[in-house]
Amino acid sequence: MAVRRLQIDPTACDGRGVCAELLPELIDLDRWGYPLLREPLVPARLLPLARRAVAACPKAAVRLQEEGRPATPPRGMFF
Amino acid sequence: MSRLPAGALPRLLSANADRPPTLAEHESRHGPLPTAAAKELVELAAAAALRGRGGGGFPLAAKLGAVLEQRRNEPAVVVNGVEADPFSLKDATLLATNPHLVLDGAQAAALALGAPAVVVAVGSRHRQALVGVTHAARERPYRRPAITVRTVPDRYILGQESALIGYLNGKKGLPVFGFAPYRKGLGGRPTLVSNVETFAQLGLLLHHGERWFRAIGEPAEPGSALITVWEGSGEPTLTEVALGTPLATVLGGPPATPTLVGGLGGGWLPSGWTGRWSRRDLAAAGSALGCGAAWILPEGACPLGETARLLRFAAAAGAAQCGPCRFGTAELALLFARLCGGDKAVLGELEEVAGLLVGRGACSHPDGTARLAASALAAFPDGVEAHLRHGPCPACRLQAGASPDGLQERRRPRRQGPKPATPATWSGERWR
Repeated sequence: MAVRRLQIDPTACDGRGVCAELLPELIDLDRWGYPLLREPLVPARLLPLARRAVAACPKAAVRLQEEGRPATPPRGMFF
Repeated sequence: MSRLPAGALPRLLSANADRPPTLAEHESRHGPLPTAAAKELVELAAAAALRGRGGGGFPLAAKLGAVLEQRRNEPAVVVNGVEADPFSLKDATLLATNPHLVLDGAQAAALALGAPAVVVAVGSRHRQALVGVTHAARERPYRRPAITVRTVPDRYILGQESALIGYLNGKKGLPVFGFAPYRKGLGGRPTLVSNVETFAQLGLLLHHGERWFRAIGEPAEPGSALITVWEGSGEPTLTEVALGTPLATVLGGPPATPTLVGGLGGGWLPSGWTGRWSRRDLAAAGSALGCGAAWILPEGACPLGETARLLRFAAAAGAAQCGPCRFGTAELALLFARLCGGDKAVLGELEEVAGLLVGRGACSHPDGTARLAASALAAFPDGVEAHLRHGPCPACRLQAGASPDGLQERRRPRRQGPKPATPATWSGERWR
């Protein structure tokens, strides 16, 4: 399976902290409450949790991309 | 072929400083508009190891190649002359005194890439540059690719390429995360965007060839570079040196006081620094070539106090989109000011906050700000200790800044007249 890389759009992120709550294995919060990626590569066992973090971000700032491919903007119903 | 001796300086600056050369004078010096096929251009830029001169230092050949790959769509060329760093005046001077060389580079690149248009973006504080480049564009007989000159507000963050292109596209001029101008830039076209000096260097390279270009400079960093030198509290001077020239030669003697190199996103060199003016040496010293500015600190000024002032300016100049920029740069400035006041508790915190800024923004403004703070701590350990032991030094206590006049924290002018009425559709809170 392709390696997935977690990516956070810092301009979209508002520091809500949902991602760090859902995925504390990979994401810490810094002193201002913004996510700090401990490790961008997502191991397979954490993939479902990572997907949940992506889906739960209220600002759609968390993205999961396949290694080697450019990031694509999130596509939602209203885009 | 070349009318100019290869080893002679200045190359970029015109010999006559009073007025820009006319097209005839320019052509007698360099020749007519050079043409090159796209592949030749990429190979030439790679062979001459030409890098962007705006601060990022990205290899031009890679940029050209990336735009070429996207040639299904008609490309565009943007010349970035915003130059909003308060320490830099090289691009404005180049546009004001030798605009044809810049336009040669830009038009030749546009021709090679098949771009129908060149946009020259000039920061609004550079009036002379605007006049110079507009006159030159009218004087030129080369109607295609068309040259458009646009003024851009003098806002620090607009110098960043994604913010600039966003602004030119009619959006907010703010940096964009994951921006790829070579895919979707100006008007959605694949866009080659680079600094004014880069295009002038490209013009020289195309006019005179790679061997001529490499006659001065270092093997890894050939050619010349423009430096805005601020000495004392007077007016800046612009000099052109070969890359790899020792700093002592650039400044006419080893600096007796600390020197800030690279503008806001650069770093401090301690007094008596003996390295060379090259990307590699400056980076190794914890500084950066950046926009190519050197501010020699006036006698009696405190480098730490000046750093605190610069950090405050940098914090206000950011776009405040990303967390590290919105909170981090301001906190860094605050901590640094407390350090100048002799607060012993902040040293560890300063290092932690500076670390949190690196590599976490959409643009590299937080990185540059962190570098400024870290380089000050590294270059002046004695000064830090003295402040922590004895409290603020006389200069810090006076709060009298020594920085150049351009470094006034610019506030937005007060809106005149009555407040505009709120639109009827306004629902209160802004939907973000």
